[in-house]
Amino acid sequence: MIVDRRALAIPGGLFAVAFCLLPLALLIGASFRGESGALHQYSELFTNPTNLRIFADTCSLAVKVTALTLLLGFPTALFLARLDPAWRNVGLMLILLPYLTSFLVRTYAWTVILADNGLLNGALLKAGLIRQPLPLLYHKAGVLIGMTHIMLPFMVLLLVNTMMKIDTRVLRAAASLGSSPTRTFLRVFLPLTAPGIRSGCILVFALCLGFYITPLALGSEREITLAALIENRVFRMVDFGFASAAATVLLLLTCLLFALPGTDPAVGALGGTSGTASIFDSARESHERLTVGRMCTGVFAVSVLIGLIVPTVIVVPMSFNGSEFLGLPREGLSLRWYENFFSDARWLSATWLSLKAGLASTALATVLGTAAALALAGSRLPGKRLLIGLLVSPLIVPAVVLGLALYGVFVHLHLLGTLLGITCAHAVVGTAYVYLTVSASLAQQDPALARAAHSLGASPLYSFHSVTLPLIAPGVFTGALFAFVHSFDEVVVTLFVAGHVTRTLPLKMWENVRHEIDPTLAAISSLLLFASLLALTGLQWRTLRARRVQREKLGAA
Amino acid sequence: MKPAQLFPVLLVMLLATGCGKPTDSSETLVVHIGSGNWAAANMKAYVEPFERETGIRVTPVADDLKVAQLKLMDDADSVEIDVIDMPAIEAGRSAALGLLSPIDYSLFKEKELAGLRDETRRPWGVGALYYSIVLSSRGAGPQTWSDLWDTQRFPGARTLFTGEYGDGPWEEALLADGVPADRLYPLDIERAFRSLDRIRPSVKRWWRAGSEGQQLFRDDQVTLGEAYDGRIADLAARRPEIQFTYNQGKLLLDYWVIPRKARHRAAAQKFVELATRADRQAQFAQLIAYGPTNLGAYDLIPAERAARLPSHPDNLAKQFRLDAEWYLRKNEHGESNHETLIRRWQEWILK
Repeated sequence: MIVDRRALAIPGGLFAVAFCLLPLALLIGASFRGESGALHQYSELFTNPTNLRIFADTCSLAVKVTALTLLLGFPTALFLARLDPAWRNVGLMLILLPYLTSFLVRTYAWTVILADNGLLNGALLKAGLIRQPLPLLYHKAGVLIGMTHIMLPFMVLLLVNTMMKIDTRVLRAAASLGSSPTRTFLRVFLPLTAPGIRSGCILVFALCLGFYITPLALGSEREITLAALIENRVFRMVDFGFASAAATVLLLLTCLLFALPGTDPAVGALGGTSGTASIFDSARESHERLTVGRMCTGVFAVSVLIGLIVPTVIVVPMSFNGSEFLGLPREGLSLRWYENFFSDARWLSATWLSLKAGLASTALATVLGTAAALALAGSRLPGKRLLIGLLVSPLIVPAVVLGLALYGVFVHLHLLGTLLGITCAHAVVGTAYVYLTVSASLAQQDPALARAAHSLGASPLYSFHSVTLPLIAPGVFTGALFAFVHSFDEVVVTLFVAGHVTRTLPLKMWENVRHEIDPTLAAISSLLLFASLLALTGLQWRTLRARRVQREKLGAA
Repeated sequence: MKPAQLFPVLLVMLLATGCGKPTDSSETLVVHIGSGNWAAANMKAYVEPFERETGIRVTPVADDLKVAQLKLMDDADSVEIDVIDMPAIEAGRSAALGLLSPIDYSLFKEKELAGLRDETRRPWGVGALYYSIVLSSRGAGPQTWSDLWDTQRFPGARTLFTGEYGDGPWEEALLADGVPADRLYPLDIERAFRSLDRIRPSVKRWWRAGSEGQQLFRDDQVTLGEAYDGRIADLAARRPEIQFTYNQGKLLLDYWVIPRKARHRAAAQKFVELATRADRQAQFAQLIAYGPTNLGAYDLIPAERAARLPSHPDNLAKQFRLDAEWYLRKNEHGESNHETLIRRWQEWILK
């Protein structure tokens, strides 16, 4: 084959241009087109007190959630990083399960936990700790809790990853030189984890800026975020120009955040790669003594892990509720909500559509992302960083901005509400996931292996099939899994591109959260949770198997 | 599976999903039927008989469609929906913007046409149902809006309809503030918001969808407030402690409308004709406590049931009617009262 390997990046690049860069450029263009002057939309955005208030509230909410995730995440990560590998894997499973579970499921679970007569207030009242139910649901507190729960896995995974990379010999050296444990922690360990903390905070803050569903479902009318303002202006007031201006500001802010130094690992964590495969791989033992401080960290971390997992799995008992009340079963168990799901044509067709969009976008993303990763790995291409930025950008762009941009294009192409449109909108993000995971895999491979195959007379295609592909297979598998989970879970972008009639499973669930919350949602959530568990098991199994195969091969050699 | 087989498998996956085929097929009619027990009644009384009679499959849609969304679809030439149940204000605005198809009354039988009241027989829409926003409570509760505003006598979390769509609890707020029912219009907007200021701390949730209002009472999230009569009556039938009254209720009227760029206009006309027949509306009114627009339906509804509908003369006497005309009237800046209220609500709610 004469074709340059680097040409493999072309399809993925073009796809990202078509479904991310170009729509964003058109969106920015639209923000400057107004009846009363090019900057009219922006002056309205920055002079109207209501809009300024929404802007400030969104930022302050993001700051609070970031602080909370760091506060809860740091000790938890510290605990996990020092744990024995076997236990660490258990801990990581407890973090990855919520991470892989639909955030709609978790948001729904919180409505049940946080209600005045919900599980939390109920328990506190029973224990005599409070006399009046705490105002949680439909309050700022509810939004903070719900968003922190969604963001915490990102922070913990990133921090664990950073902490595990620290050379423990440095810490021992400090100790042997007479530094007290506190001093070692403050002067050696903390500075070494600083990059992880920084990228974790940037990542969480940037993601929080684009939040839409959680504040709407758990907050009061006052918790209007920038994303909700954008949605409101498009669909309630048909003010595409103003919505574009607000979206442009949000986009600019996010880009600035990701342009800060040290955000590469943040993007990596978003791909879920450095956070999962490499930590699972690590077999680092811990040889540290048990101290009071360590015990406190342990107790704290275990509580955080319980706090993460309980709202995720609580939907299972809720789904067997015999009555229509929300909450845990009071009047006997029943399968009626499962029956309800499996006998309702609307739920089934939404599920079917989500499966189709999920499979199609995963297939597309896997091919495009893998090809791009192969093309760019180790190659010296002018503008390579730019190309990588282009491929990864759909992960960084806030969903509400990408959704609005795609809406602006799809509406003219008559792609709204079509399977093709939804598939492409999902695949552009999926490609970024696959690109990141496969690149990470490739970075760990020895390029000499492919060269050896070549020198032994293997055709490039043959050496790709029998050498490169088996080596990167875990990366491809992880990427495909994340692409599928993304598609199956996506709400905000889909909300914009699905139009008014077409309903994917998450959109149908969101419709139910808004209209009539009943335990059918718990039944579906339980089924989805089971699917996440399967995915997680698959991920573990694949990583372990790949490691075993590699070891066997090395042994044979 | 060998990795080498991965790519062909992915390709087959892509093809198997039939990617590229639009999800819409031509033999369907897309109808907005709402959610919860209202959707169930719409399905039984209208959608299923329509499917049986015409063989056309109906795709039901839960979310309301506001004027803005319809305008957006119309501008883009991609109107996805064929029949919409629209409140009078929204329907009037859509008609004024020229977004609606004229209703083909030539399809209607003489007898059915005679049963339709004048206000329900508009060129751009035909009346779908009468319904009300009513005072609701768990246990013995307030009988007037002033009572509901009295947090001393009636403590507890409340729920009211959101004002974000412009048809919020303005009349209720003014009645609570002492404005007589026959002197409500033109609404004193500032006075309404001042009155809402007083009740706001006690409002747990401003509901957005009728089924949400019902659910807040069902799950004991609130003890007092307002809800649609058909929703709260449905709950009260199962939960005797839930009560409501038509006293000072706000009587509303919805229209069936057909967007001018709807894809299946001919089928939509047939649907609208079927959905306003006396026998269909009679069945509907027995599934959910909403009033028929075709007076002929009353001949087919048992008297005991008819007495519990919002448009029954006894209940009408206790209520006031929403004046959709006032909402659509424009002020000196060319802004309709409806638009002013949406804007004022956004400022007020963030205060």
